[in-house]
Amino acid sequence: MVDVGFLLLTFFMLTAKFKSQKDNVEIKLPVAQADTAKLPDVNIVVVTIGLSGASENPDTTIYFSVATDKDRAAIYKPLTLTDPKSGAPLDDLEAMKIQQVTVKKNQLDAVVKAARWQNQSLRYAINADKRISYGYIDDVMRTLQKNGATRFNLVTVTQGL
Amino acid sequence: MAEMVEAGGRGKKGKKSKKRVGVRMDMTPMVDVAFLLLTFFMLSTTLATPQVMEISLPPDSKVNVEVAESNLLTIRVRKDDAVFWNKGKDAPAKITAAEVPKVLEQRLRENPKIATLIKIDRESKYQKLVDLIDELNLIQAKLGQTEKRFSIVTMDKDDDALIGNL
Repeated sequence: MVDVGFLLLTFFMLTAKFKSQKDNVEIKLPVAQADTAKLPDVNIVVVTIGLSGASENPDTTIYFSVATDKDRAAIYKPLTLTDPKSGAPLDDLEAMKIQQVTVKKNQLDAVVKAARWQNQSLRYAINADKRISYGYIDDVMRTLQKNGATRFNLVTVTQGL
Repeated sequence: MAEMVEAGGRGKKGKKSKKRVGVRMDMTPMVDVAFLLLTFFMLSTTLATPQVMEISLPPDSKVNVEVAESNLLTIRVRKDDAVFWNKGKDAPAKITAAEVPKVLEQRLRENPKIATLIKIDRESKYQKLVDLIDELNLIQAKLGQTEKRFSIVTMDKDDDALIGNL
C-alpha cells in the first residue's frame, strides 16, 4: 500500500501544474454551470484581461500568452520587446522565453495578426475577470473576429469548487 | 523509533549459525507525510483546471445573417444590468435575473429553431454575458438541442432609445 501510495505521489507531483506565479493580477473568473470543455494546453493563445492596481480605481490590463515556444518570437515581434534592465531590444531566443507579455490596446490587433500569420492552428481563449465591463471583452472579441479567429473560448470556472 | 531485531530462521541450514542483526525502522511518520503530500497534489491538480465556453462569431460583422423575425429572440442587457427580452419586433419586456432561465426555456421549447441575439451594453459586467450564455447552454442541453445559435453584439443608440426609459 505504501509503495502504491508513493507511486501515486510521484505521479501527481510530476503531472501537477501550478498556476504561474508571475501573474501580478488576480483573475476572478466568471462562474458557469454548464458542462463545458477543459482549456487545452497546446496550441493555445490566451488573452488575459485583468484588473490591477488599487481596488477602488482598478486598471484594466491586457496580457497575451502563447503556449507554444516556437511561435512566440514571431508573434511578439510587433511589440518590440526590450530588456527591462538594459533597454536593449530582445533577440528571438530571448523573446521565446517570455510566456506572457503586456499588450496595449492599440497593439493587440498587430499581435493577433502576427499570431494568425504564424500558426493557423492556434486557438484563442479570453481569460477575463468577471468584474470588468463588457466593453473590454467586446474590443478583444472584435479584434479576433476581424483577424479571422471567429471561434474562440471564454475561460470560466465551474460553480461549486 | 528504530529497533534491533535478532534475525531468526536464517542461517540455520548454514554451516555456522552467524548472528545477524536486522534493523527495523518505524516508517509511520514518513508514510503519513507521503500521504499528506499525495492528498495535496491530488486536490491541487484537479481543482486548477479551468473550463472554457465555446463562442463562434460570424467571420465578418458586416455580413448580415438573415433570420426570420419569428425565429429571433433578443435579450438586451442594460448598463444597470437590467435584462429585457423580446421576440422578433415585439416591444421589449423587462425581466428579473431569476426569470431569465424561465423565459429562455419557454422560447426554446416553443421554437427549437429560434436564434438568440444577446445585446449587451459596453458598461455592463462581463459576468452577465457569461451567465446568459451559460443559461442558454444549460437549457439547450436540457432540451437536447446541440446546435449553438446565439450571437453577441453591443447595444447601439437605437437599443438605448428602445429600452432606456422602461
